[in-house]
Amino acid sequence: MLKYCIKRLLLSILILLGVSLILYVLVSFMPVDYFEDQIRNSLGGAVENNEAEVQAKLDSIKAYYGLDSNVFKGYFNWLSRLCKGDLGNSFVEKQPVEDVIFRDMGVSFGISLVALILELLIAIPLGIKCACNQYGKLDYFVTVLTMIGISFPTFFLGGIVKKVFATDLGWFEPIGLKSSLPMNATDWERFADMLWHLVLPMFVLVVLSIGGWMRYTRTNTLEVLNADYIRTARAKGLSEKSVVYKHVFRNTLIPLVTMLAGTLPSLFGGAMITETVFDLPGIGNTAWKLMQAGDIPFIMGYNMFIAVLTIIGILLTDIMYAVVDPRVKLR
Amino acid sequence: MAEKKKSHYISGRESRKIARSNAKITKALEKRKKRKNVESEYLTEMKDPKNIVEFENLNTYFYTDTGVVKAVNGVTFSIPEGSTVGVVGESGCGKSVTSLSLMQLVSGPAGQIVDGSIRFRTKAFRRDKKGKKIPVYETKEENGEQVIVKKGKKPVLKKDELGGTMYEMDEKVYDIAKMPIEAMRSIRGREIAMIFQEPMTSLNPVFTIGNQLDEVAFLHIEGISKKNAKARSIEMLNLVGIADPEGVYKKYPHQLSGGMRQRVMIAMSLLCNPRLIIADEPTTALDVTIQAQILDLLREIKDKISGSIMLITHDLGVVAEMADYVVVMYAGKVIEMGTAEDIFDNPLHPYTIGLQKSKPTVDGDVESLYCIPGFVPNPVDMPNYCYFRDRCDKCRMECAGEYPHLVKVTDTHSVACYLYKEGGEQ
Repeated sequence: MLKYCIKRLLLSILILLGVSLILYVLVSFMPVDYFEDQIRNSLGGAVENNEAEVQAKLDSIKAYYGLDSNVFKGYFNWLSRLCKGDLGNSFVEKQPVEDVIFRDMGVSFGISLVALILELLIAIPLGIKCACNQYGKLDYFVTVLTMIGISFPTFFLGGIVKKVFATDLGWFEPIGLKSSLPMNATDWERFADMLWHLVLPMFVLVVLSIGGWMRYTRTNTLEVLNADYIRTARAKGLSEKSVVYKHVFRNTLIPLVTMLAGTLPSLFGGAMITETVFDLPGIGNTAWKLMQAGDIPFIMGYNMFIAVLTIIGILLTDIMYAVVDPRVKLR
Repeated sequence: MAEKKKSHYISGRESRKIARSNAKITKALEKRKKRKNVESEYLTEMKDPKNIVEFENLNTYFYTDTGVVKAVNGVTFSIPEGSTVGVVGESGCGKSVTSLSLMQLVSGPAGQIVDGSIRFRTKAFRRDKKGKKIPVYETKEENGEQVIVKKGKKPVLKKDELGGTMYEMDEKVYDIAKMPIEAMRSIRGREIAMIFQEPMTSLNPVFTIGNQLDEVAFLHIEGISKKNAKARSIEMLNLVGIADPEGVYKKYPHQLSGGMRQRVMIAMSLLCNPRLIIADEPTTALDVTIQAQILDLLREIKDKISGSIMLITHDLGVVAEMADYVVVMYAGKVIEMGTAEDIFDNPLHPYTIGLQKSKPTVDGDVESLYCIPGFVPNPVDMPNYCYFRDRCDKCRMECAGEYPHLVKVTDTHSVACYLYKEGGEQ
């Protein structure tokens, strides 16, 4: 097991190298240039007259940051700095990339984790219930409902929810994580205020992904319910409840747990669209803003962060397979 | 219209009509399975006290999207106590469904026992007025009287050799076809155990053998300790001839071979000393040498537990070796039954004769194996004449008439064919 993990980790270094090269090349072709935007903004309307001046300034800055040389030279520069543990400074935030990532990750992680737990708590029992009453009223009802949930684009559902519950009804706060509270507000009040802000984004996140989990659980449960060993379990005289919650559930769990391990990147990487719609100070929102601004060190750092998480997620999936399914041996 | 009937095509309207009527019927039947506290409704009497199971006019249907499939269509036979009854027939003739009906394991809501009765003689718990089981207390003799032993104020419960609580039992006859699932559960695994066709998939892959065996003991022997359950499981594994029972106890099903798994299944079925073991093609998925071992084992344990075996198979050789009585089924009906000698030495029904002829023999000097011509008719919309008529080489004028009844040719031997009448040949 340990040997397998080490082998996989060594292999993933190679994968990460490939990923980073592709990323760097793609980023260098991005149609935004942070410095050009900055210079043109600072010069205001006088740009037309000073095209030569702009170009000169740009060249000097790019030379300073090592962005003027060809792509591969730039890549190896970036890589050698990465090996020293330096991801560079974010152009926009003016602080090290890793600091920006860790600063905003907490909020995203909190939201995603709570949303994921809610999703699982609702979707898995519902999926099993539906499978046990296949083609029943509940099954159709839940299926239609979750399908509607899946089919909504995030920004659309987010927009509607914001309009109805925040703007029109005024029940919840439309954006942000904090409202202005009096100075003497207690910690508890501040926490409650934060929860209040999180109701709508959480709702959107849960509604959007509950369908996927539910359908996945339902399909797997159905498959297991028809297995021969379930008939054996019934023939032993077990009650339907223990058949479903011991024999069926344990087998349904195998694909579910492995899928769960695969959600790791999205857990830390933030929900970009939802965070943007509700303007939450999470990593997804930051990434969206800095990507638009062409903040190359941050884009590279953030995407590498996601790549590492993905690789760990896949490794975790494989390990979880061996944990939940006795038939799987990792070598 | 007549042409349309023959084809398998059904229109959208017909299909919707079928689905609606199916839903209505199955809903009512499913509801019947969920009744509570209705023992009086399924309490019955045996016709012949020597029997342990009596099927009478059993009808088990599958309500499919293309129509009702009468998988078991009026089956009547019985299993005498302490005997082995072989049920033979080709694939899809309803032999497995008959056995699943006996366990109420026909997969609903599509599959339902529609009519008829399955009488089963069982040991049932005696219950007090509140419906609770009455435990047996430890007694001792005092001044020539039986007195309940008390520890402090509480009477001491009597335990059996495995440490399970003992309850007062009654010999009762239940009609399984009318039993609700909840009541059926105390019979499954305790009084009737089942061995399935596919040992490779019949054990849950994520639990150890020990876990799956102990489960049965925990379920049916109330108050049994973990240690005793394990001891019992290992004893059973030993009984079925597993060389390293302690090791196998800890293993997962995928670590065992097919033959070993089938032995585990047999061990599982033996845990509660059942009266009847249903073996649904227990050797079909195994190779020939293991087949022989498993059959020997079944014969051995039958004597040990002094129970009966209902052996379902399509292999005539297996039946000849094992069975005391043989029931031959075709397209959901019993077409011939009798003792093993009756069926093998003196087969009467043209189908049974055909089956015998199509068995490969070592000494026979034949170019090619005999094969009964034609196919089993489409199970939806069966005609009301002998189902074998179109394949039969002895077909007569009478065969155009309605389905022939079973007639007793001798005391033990019955056949459903127009060639025969009560007491002999027509």
